Amino acid sequence: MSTPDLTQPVSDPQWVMPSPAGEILLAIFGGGAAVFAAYCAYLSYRKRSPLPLLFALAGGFSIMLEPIADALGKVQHPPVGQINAFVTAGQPIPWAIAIAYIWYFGLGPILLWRFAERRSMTPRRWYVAAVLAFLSVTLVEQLPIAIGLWKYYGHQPLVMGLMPIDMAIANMVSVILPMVVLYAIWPILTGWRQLLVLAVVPICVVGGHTAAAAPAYMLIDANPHVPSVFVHLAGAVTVVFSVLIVWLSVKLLHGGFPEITADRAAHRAAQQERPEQVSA
Amino acid sequence: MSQYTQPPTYHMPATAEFVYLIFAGVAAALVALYALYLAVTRRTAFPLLICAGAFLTVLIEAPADILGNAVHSQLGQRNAFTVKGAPVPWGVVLTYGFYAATLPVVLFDRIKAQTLTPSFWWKIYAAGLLAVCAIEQIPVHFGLWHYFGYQPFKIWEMPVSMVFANAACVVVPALLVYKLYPILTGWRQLLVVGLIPAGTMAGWAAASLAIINALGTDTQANQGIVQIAAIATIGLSLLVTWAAITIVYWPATVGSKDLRGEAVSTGGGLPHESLKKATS
Repeated sequence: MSTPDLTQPVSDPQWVMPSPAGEILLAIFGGGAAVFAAYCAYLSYRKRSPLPLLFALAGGFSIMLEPIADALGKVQHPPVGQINAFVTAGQPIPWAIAIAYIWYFGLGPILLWRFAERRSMTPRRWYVAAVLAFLSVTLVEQLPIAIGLWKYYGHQPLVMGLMPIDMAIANMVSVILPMVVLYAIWPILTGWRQLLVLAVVPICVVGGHTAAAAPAYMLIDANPHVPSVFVHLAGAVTVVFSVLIVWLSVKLLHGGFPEITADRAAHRAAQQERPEQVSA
Repeated sequence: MSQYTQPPTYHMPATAEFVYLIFAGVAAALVALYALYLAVTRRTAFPLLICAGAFLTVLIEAPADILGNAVHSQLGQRNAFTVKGAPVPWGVVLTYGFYAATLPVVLFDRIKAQTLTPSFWWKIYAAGLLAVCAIEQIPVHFGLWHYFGYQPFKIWEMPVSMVFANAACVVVPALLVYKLYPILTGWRQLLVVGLIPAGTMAGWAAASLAIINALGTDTQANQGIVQIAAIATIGLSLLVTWAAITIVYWPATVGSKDLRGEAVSTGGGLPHESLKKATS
């Protein structure tokens, strides 16, 4: 028996938020959130439905992912000089990020609206949406990282350019999975059930992201003695998990597994035959 | 940066740890032996792959400890590995061998037959609440691990929030295995090794996203927030479980028409009960 090594790689507590870049980021992200919220209010008025505003609110509630992802994925927002919204688990979250979640996770359901109403999404459209989401979530972080508004530190796998690809694709899952689930339950989002959106979106955001990024989280946070090949392998597995989660959820939504259909049909037929045999 | 509750340093009780190591080892061995029996008699490696996935799930223990304000007594621990300063003892590694494997292994024949019903899963969830609550009482009481800081609404030694979060993380991967079993044939069976850790992480993180954020603060100074988050965790756990069951029992095919007001057919969209209530 021995005392385990309790040292851990930590973020830089002296890192300074660049100014006025931090203020400009808040203005841009905050302005975007204001425009988006106004658009949601307009949609709610036009469609006589609270859903657009609920989507914006649900996106905002999803900020609860940020401290988890930062703590486990080793992301740091500069603590010194930050316009801070809140701190949890040692992770200072700036107002710019807290506000950005309103459109980051609220926009997808709004874009989905027309397709959900008409039930016109197809697997191909979902995969196109996933690719576009991946490109968007990757692009939106490039400039802020380059300027130093946040950074991925420590032993990160699969870094291409400025951002680890495994985190980018896990972020895509956290955007797409809530959309898939909302699309699925769209017909029952009536009356009080519309309030479910406020919980369904955050749990899909957090659940999707952590499920996809679990391998990376396990090894990014390992002690410094873990060989880098395992860290990169974990990143690769995260990429695979992310693709599988999106692919499986879309296939399940659109009934794309004939094996499951056949299995269920066979069992249903067998159960129906049994009472008939008994009565005979 | 704000202060947040940090884990104290504890001495591991040597005898109690040894006894627990034996208990966990025996329990894991029994589950593994039963899985081997199923593998031989049913001529499939699937149960053994479930066990492999269950052991791999131990890798989320350290992230869960960090986020959930739990710690395994550090000094004198029989340490297996350490992630981000959170030590995980061998006893816990063996624990996952039965904690994450028992449900899918015991239900294997019914998973294979695809005969489980939504009400059955709710009974499993209820049983899971009792089991996850009971299993940690004695180890926590004897100081093998601790829930530190302010953690409200304890059932003897166990915070209620963790009871509900852990129950969700036991049921969700079993539901995923059940849903996907018909397509996990041939080489695709290997996917279950990743499905169980990913599903466990997703279920736990989604259910506990509120309490995680609250526990990351100075819990003694923010008791009200922690209490609200603990209560929210109960609701989130129920919602996560409901969402997972709804997804599992999603009809095989989804029609392209708007489902509002339509009676569901076998080729319809949502489960019959949900649509009936929504359109009434």
